[in-house]
Amino acid sequence: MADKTEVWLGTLALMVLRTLATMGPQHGYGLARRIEQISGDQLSLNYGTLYPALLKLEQEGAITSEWGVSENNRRAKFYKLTRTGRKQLERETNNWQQATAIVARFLSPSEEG
Amino acid sequence: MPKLRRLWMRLRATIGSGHCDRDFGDELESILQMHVDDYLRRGMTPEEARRQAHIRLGGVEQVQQVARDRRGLLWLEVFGRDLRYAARTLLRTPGFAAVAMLVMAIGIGASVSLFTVIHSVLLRPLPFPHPDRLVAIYSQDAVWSHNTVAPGDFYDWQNASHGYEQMAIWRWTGFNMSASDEQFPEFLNAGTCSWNLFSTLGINPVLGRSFTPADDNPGAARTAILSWALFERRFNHSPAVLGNTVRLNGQLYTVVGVIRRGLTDVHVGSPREMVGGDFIVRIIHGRPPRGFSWPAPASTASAPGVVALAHSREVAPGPERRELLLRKDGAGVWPVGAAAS
Repeated sequence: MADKTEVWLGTLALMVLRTLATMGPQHGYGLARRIEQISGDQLSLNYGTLYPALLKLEQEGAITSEWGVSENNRRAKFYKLTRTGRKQLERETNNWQQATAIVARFLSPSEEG
Repeated sequence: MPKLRRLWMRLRATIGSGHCDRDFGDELESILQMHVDDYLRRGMTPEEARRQAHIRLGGVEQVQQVARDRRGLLWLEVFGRDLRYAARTLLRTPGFAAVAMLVMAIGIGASVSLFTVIHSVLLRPLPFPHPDRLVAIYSQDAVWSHNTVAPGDFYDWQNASHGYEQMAIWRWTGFNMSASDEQFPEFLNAGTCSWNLFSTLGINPVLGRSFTPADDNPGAARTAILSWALFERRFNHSPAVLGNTVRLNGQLYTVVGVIRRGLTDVHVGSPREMVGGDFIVRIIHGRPPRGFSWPAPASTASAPGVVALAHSREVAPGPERRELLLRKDGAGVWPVGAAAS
């Protein structure tokens, strides 16, 4: 597990928003597992990493939380995307795609020699 | 905007932190349970499952610490604790606390008032160009160290002195302004001056003209220059006031100019009825070199007129100028700053 990639700084919020947008309300545990799963188990995410990101998003108003009951009948705190969060997701997705496109251009085999 | 909102949320979390701590503890516990369930499903023993869950979670204490730092404003909490601690300590010895506070209050008050005086007297520059070259001259005799100057002396000194660029004289004069154009009569804090007061101070009117020598003789038409404050308040900024007359102490004065904002509390200046007063002198020389001292006063104190003349030549700026340059039975020089404050 130790050689799994750490989550890059700043990308976690985007992953959380995206996961919530596609999966609907999730509790912290489910979010962490889901993100690991989508990454093809290339990422390792413990709660100590995830929680600060959730807190920040909640403080910014991108997500809200509510206590509910999990699929295994456990009490759990569920996080839900807000309208602000949806807008933020859209914006950050664009930013990210732009950034990666630019970097990709630098890294692609050169056409001009 | 999100930043502001975040700050607000953190502030709220800081103030009601007990509730948040419990909420977070519950959440952590629920996540831990889910981990345990997961490991149990994979067939671990309950103890092993719990151990692995703790490892996976990354240490409850650490997570809690991170959460606490991010959730509230840590510095505010610490500050609040310090305040409470200080209050408790002070309350334990109320007598000592009261005395300490009193001492500090008096100390701070004294320093502030002292600095206020120093600032206004010594540090704040005068609102005129080259304030270091402005001095005020008083006449002096055995009784009065700062006597006002008789107009006759002033004209004598003005004619005989070569040490000063210009000399002007002014005095405070109250004027009653008559009612006009549905405006009430009012009393004006004003001054009367020799025609060259404004050029001596180095200022030009923002509107109209300054006084001229022709304004300054007993037969001349009465003229006045308004302060900006009066121009604004009474005449609504209307330049049409130039050339018009105002009635002061029952006499008609023609308004010839307006001086710029914030320069003076004196609202009307007029050179016509100069009867005496302190006079302001602009010195022709700049600051003399360090260590320079003026020669001792000429001891030809025979005739009063001669004394005054001799001293008006001698009194000039020096490093010690901020102290009164006293001459026995002669003139003393003050910087205007000290005199006008």
